[in-house]
Amino acid sequence: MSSLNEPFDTITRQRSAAEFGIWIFLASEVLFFGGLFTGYSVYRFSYPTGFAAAGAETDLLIGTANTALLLTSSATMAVAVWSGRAGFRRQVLWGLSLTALLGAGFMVLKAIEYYNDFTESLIPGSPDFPVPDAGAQVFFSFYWVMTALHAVHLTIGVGAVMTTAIRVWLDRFDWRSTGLLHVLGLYWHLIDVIWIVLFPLLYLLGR
Amino acid sequence: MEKNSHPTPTRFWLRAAAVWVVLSLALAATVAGAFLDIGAFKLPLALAIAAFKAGVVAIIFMELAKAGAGPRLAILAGGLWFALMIGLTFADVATRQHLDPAVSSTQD
Repeated sequence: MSSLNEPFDTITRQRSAAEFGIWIFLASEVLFFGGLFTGYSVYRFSYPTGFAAAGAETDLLIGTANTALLLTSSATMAVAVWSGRAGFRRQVLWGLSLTALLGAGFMVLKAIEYYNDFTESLIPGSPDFPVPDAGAQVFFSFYWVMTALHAVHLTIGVGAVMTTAIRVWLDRFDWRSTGLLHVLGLYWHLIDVIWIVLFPLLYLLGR
Repeated sequence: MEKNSHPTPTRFWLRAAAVWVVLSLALAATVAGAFLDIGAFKLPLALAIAAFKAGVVAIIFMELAKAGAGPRLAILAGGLWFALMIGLTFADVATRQHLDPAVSSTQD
């Protein structure tokens, strides 16, 4: 089992470097989504009524259920990370498996929602787009781009969590002392935080 | 592991469950808040609850409270640039005035 890698002298150093690295990545992710948040804010400022009318067309039930799923998955992820440090292998496996399952559940609901959006022609540029107000199609441009980008991150997250669970199960790496579980957890929680902000912007307008 | 001072699996699950209850209540509050008849306060309320939820996740689950100087700097840098982006953008967008072309042409 490999735990200490080049160029680090101690595992503590390696762990703090990994933690610093993921935080730099997460900060860049904040700016990545930040550009979209800024664009959204500008258009919402310009078209308040169009955004409210379009926002009322999103599926509040699925949106809320998905928020609950992600909040729960953050809790199970935290258990996996805490248990990893304490050396509780079985709890790590439970925590990671539940997290991946909840993430997959989110994607299933999101797919159903996308299908419904599609059949309701909630697509910018569609001749059957149901909301006539100016700016309503702009709202749905942001809706599709933001949720799709979030879904890509979540898909990567589910894959990484599942891979890690299998590697812990097979004891392929030193999950007790390396920072890998913590780093994975930080990525997962950021996906949750992004969704926490997306949820009121996309689902709670015009209610 | 049997001693009280040592972490136990049950304690981890209980701690996560307690945070989960707080987050779920905040979620319920934000959905309920969207149906309140408070006009212009809807958005600030929704964003305040979102900030609260994000803060709980960041401080407890992402262990921001225990983070060292490096991670704190990274977060600060990300937050600062995002604030600059929003701030400078709205310094323009929110203060634009649409002048009447006829009026502005006579100013030359």
